[in-house]
Amino acid sequence: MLEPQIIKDKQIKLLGCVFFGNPFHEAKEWSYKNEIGNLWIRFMKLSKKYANFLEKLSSSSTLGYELHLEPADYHKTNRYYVMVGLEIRDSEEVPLEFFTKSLPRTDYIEFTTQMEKKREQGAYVYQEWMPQKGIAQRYPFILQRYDPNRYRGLEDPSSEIDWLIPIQRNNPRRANFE
Amino acid sequence: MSRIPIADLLSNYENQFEEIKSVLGALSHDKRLQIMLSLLTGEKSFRELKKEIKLEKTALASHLTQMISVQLILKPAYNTYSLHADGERFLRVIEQAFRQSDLRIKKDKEKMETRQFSEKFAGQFFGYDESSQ
Repeated sequence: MLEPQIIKDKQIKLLGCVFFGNPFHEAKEWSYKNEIGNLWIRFMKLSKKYANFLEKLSSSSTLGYELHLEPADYHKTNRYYVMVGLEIRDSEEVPLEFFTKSLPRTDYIEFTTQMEKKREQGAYVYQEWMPQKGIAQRYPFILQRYDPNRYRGLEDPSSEIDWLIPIQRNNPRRANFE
Repeated sequence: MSRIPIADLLSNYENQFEEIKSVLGALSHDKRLQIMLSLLTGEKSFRELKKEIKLEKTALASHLTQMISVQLILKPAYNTYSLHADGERFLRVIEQAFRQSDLRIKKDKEKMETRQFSEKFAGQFFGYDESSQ
């Protein structure tokens, strides 16, 4: 696994479909049949319908983003926000069925995990690498990014997923991401 | 809002610091602002204001005198007070400037939670071991 990279002062705007609730009623995590899988299917259908629009708006029409946002009452409800879609340059006017989201401007760490090792590699970054670098998650959301050149489906253990975590200095003396 | 040329704005201010200060001074008191807001709904008697603003007689009289002196309020009849057009104008400008201020937007942004995931939520992605929680 490559060392996580620090992305400075980035604002990400997304366009896509949104879900709020417990996304694992229909099926368990990392399944095409759960509510997140259904959300992707809905997004893909709309993407075909509005292909020209997306071509104009998106910064890269091939990279898929999945946003997971934990609300403050998640511990009571088990419900949270999921958005799937594309990164866009501009969000002036979009088709009605789509939602747009301008995430807060922040630094991120970006790293890549293999499908079969995603939990261990993610845990290493989140539990070990970040504290060692003196940085902490800034906002309670995370982004997964799917590049069709490297992501070949959930069943392929060599599939790769990129992760983006918004970060801040935990301890300015220890933080070394200048 | 009409645009005043910067040069005019500067010269207006420079020549009238004292006047501006006395108006701002009259405005910058919570009881006096409360009186003005109360008079926005119509004229009031001294007794009505005293009851509403919850002030002693002398304190209320002193506040009213100060506001009359800079024309924020009027005394159109004996024992009756109303908001002067200037007073209403100042209130509206203050409210508009305050509502649109960058500082308020900044404060709202600061309300945005800056926190890490809960362990339970992070566990979905990063394989937290239940026994370690």
